[in-house]
Amino acid sequence: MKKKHDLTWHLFMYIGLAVGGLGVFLSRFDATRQFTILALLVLFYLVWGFAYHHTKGDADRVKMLEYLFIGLIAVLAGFLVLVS
Amino acid sequence: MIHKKVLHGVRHIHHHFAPHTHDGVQHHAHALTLVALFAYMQIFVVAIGGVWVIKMTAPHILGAVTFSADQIIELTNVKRAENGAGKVTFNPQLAQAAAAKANNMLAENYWAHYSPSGKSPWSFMNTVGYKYVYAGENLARDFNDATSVMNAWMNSASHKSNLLDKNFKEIGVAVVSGKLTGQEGILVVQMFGSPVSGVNTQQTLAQASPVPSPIVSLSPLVSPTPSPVPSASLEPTPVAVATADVIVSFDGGGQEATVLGGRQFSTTRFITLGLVGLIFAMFALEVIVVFRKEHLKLRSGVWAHLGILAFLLLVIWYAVSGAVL
Repeated sequence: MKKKHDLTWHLFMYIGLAVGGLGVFLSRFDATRQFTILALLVLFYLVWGFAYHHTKGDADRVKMLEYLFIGLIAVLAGFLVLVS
Repeated sequence: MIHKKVLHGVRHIHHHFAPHTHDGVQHHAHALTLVALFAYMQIFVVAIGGVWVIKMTAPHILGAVTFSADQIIELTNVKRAENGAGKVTFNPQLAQAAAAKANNMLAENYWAHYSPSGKSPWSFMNTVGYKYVYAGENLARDFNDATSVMNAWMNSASHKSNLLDKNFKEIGVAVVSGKLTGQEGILVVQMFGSPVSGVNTQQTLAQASPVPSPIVSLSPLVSPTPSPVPSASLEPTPVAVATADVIVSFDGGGQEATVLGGRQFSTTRFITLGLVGLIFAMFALEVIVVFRKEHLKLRSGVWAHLGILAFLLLVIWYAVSGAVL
């Protein structure tokens, strides 16, 4: 049951990433739009992480900070290449 | 003794990059702790700041980029030849119109086919007295060479349609450098036309709509609506000619441009792929090690981290330094 719950959550996450990937592909040669999609995907990742770990009951400060730092790395890396 | 020291060293390195147990407690790689992730974040902050400072103070460090309108015209004819479309010949009036459009884009600071003040691409053709039956325009910005510009246009259905349109007989291109919407770079304006003199006015003309719509010019000029979706009309279309008769000789403006900072994109892309790739590899290693050692347990959230990092790597890998419109 727990495994099925995990699988459903991760499937949802990966579908979100796939939709974002399609958006990035369709926005080739428009770096600003690609960065916007990346930022939205990072937001989705953060909300997903918060909801997933709260539902699972293992949310703590360290886990949330880990999500936040990885999300910020993604945004900063995207900004460096696509916008700056 | 030496053997022990080597073993200790290897274990120390292993603990940096892979999950392990210490006194019966599982620890993940030291290089993936919160402190380490915060440090990677700071590297990107410093890189963004560094690029900004270099661009402001010594952009030549990031290399110079130069390419010309002639190269764009030559590559256009190569692509047309490859696809069985006829060669387009250089028209100085179209080049003049393209240069005027490029300068107007820089002056009014817009990245669009139509200016904020309502000027259409066709108005620039009319101003220089170019009389046409069909016309089209492709735009590109911030590319590092003419080949990249051409590849980007060929990868976009509507731009490709313009490039290979058999209705077009003449071409004019402007390549100018300047600051557009806050970014210093090279702007390319490519204008196609089919002159009135080269067309049988009795024939039925099909109207196609690449970027923006090729149009039948009317007097007075009617502005078309740009549409990325090609459409066709087999209705007979009357051919009328734009009234502007001012012929301006081409002065050579917009023929070549150089901009500093050309290697910025490749440099930042290389740094980002390296660092993000390293973080991704360490999370992937965590998954591999945990699956191989039964006493270790995979932390929840690792699959999500791998997902977002893989997505980021794909975005950066397929990123291109430029935009087309």
